[in-house]
Amino acid sequence: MKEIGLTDKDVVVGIAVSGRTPYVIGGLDYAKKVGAVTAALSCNPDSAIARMADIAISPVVGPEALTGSTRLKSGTAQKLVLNMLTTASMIRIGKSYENLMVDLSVSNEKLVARAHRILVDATGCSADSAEQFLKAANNNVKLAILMALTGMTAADGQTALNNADGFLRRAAAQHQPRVAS
Amino acid sequence: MTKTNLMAELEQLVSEARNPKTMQIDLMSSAEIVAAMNREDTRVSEAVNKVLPQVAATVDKIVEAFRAGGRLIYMGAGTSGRLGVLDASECPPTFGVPEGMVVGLIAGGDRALRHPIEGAEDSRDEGWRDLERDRSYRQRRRCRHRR
Repeated sequence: MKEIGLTDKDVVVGIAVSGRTPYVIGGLDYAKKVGAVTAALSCNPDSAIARMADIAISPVVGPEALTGSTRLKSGTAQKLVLNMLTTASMIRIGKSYENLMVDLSVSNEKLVARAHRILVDATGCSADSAEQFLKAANNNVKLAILMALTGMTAADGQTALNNADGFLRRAAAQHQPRVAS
Repeated sequence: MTKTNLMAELEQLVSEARNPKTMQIDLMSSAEIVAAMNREDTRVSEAVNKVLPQVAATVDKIVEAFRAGGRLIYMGAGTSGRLGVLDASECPPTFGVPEGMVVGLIAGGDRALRHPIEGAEDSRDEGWRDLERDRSYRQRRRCRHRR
């Protein structure tokens, strides 16, 4: 994990409940030097990392039930914020269709089953045709949905998705406006 | 930083303060302890609610970065580092993105995920180094600094 070659295109989020962890301060220092956007997630107001970052996210949850055990409320608050950062940004770059995870990687049995269900939920197709579409789309759930919605071939569907920056609604709308309204 | 300074600094932190509502937690039954913890937990989503504008602003920056081929990098020590690694590692299966698009860095490296590594979080240099390009780049920077 060392030496990841940070550039000014990256965003660095420093996480420290206390807001004073030297490791994080050093990282944010470097990120600023490189010109990356910096954010600081800490649970104390006006902390050292909050002051140095471009954006300060400081949910103040108050004293812990067990004094100083910051894996409790503070850890929960951090987890909630991190959930939002990745989930919201992934949705914003087209990783969902409606509220379905259409880019999930189909890497185990549970995920294969979920992929089937997503396809059925998104298109109303039968379980049997879901299986066929998934197979034709080489387990690419997003592509399989587009094919089921529009009748496109895998190759045409892929082109349409590329042209729509990976946004399934946009790709489907170009073909069949009512689907994505 | 001297021990006295550090102790004084920690004393100022809300997250290190004693909670008057749980002073007798050592006398409570299991049911009472979990009820007390649950009461405290209700404050968490209220606290997060107050910082939503900053969270959304960060999301906007991350979206911009992703669109430009950039990455999201979390850095932290101990529990904070673990949470970043956890969130980063869930992105490839959930969203089908390549590993490395969201990166979690923890002070002390991967071993620190399972084992406390003494003093790992205390080094600014390590935080700096974990983000750096490569050794030659680092040396060039050092040369520049010397001049």
